[in-house]
Parts: sequence; structure tokens; C-alpha cells
Amino acid sequence: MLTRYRVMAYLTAVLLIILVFVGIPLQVEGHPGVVNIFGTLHGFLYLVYLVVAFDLTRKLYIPVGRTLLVLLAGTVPFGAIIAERKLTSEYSKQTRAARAVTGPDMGTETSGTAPEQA
Amino acid sequence: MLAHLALVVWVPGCAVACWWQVGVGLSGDSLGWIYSVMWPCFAVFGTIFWWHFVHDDPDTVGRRGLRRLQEAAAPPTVEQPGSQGHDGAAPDPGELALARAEAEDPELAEYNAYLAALSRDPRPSTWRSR
Repeated sequence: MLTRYRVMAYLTAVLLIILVFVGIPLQVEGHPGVVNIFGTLHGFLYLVYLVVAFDLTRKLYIPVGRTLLVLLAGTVPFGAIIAERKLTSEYSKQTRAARAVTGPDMGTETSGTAPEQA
Repeated sequence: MLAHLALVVWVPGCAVACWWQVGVGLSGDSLGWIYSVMWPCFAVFGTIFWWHFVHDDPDTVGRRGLRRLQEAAAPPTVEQPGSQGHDGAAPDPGELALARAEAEDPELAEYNAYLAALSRDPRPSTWRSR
């Protein structure tokens, strides 16, 4: 659940950074190849990012306004990286809180295996 | 209300953007075709977002949902040792397991909170009805 969001966040972020800081200057110079490839890739990966990010924000009880910011972050260079940092810290905060409630035996299980499989 | 307005603006906006990208595609830029597929997807996703916004019980999502989850998860583990030890009624292992499972799985807790809300009030309040 968290892992797949982090993967998508970094993928969309890196592709968008390449698109904006390499592709656009090259297109201005008359070489649209990079924009064509990375524009298409980023477009489709952003759709996947939207689905994965929306799922995670609901599971982490993120309010509506912040959810919108997380979703839009995929269209701003470096935005997805910032959103990923925030959601990851939110996730570990909630995992710690759940561990405090359920006791250490359940806590290790929560932080260990569950997030990767979810 | 604002959510309805946003959707009313968003969907035609996506349609216009799609049409604009069809024009870009026709003019020879192949990227236009890609984006003319993308914009309807954004319209659909906006509709899904709006649907959730309008139909979700505000007590099960966002900050209130989280607070409610924490309140629901905390009492059983705190009460168990002292209050129920004296009369032989040992802590119900099923209840204990449920509390732990809820704390571990927000979705389950959300669902249980929803069921509890249903049993208190047959018509759960939604963002739309406020």
C-alpha cells in the first residue's frame, strides 16, 4: 500500500523532472523526441499514480484538501517527492500509534510484513 | 455544493481539453492523441473523487475518521485487565482480537465504525446532507 505509492511517486516525479528540465529545452531547440517519449510515459504513469495515491490517502485518513494537493503533486516538478515524504511520515506516525495501542507483539507485525503486502 | 460546482466545471473542462488535444493530434503532433485519451480519464477520476466526497460518512474519513478510529481502538485494551478480572468473565478473546485487527487494518475499523453508526442511526450522515 505504502510501497506501491512510493514507487509511483518517484517514477512520476523523475519522469516529470526529465520532461520539464531536459525534454522541454530540447523541444524548444527543435528535438521533440524526449518530450514525446517521456510525455507519454508520464501521462499514463500519472493515471496509475492518481489511483494509488487516492487509495493511500483514504487509508491514512488524509483530509480532502490535502488529498487534492497529493493528487496534483504528480503534475508539479518535485511535487510528488514532497508528497511522498509527507505521506510516508504520516504512515509511520499512524503505525507507531497503532503499535502503542495493540502492544509490541502486534506492532512488529504491523511495521514488518503488513505494509508491503497491503 | 462547492463539490457539485467543481464537477460541473471539471468535466466539461476535460471535454474541451480533450477536443483541443484532438486538434493537436490532427495537426500532426502524435502526443496530442495520447493526451486526448488522457483527458477523459481525468474526467472519470474527477467524477469518482466527487462521488466519494458526496457519499462518504464524514465520521469515517479524514481527521474525524482517524480520531474515531483511535477512540475505538484505545478503550478495550485499557479496560481489559482491571475491570473484568474479578467475576470470572475473562476478557473475551474474540473482542480482543477484533480490537487488535481494527487497529491494524484501518479499513476494517472504518467498516466496523460504519456498522456501529448504522445501528445507532439508520441513516448515516453524509457530506451531502450537511
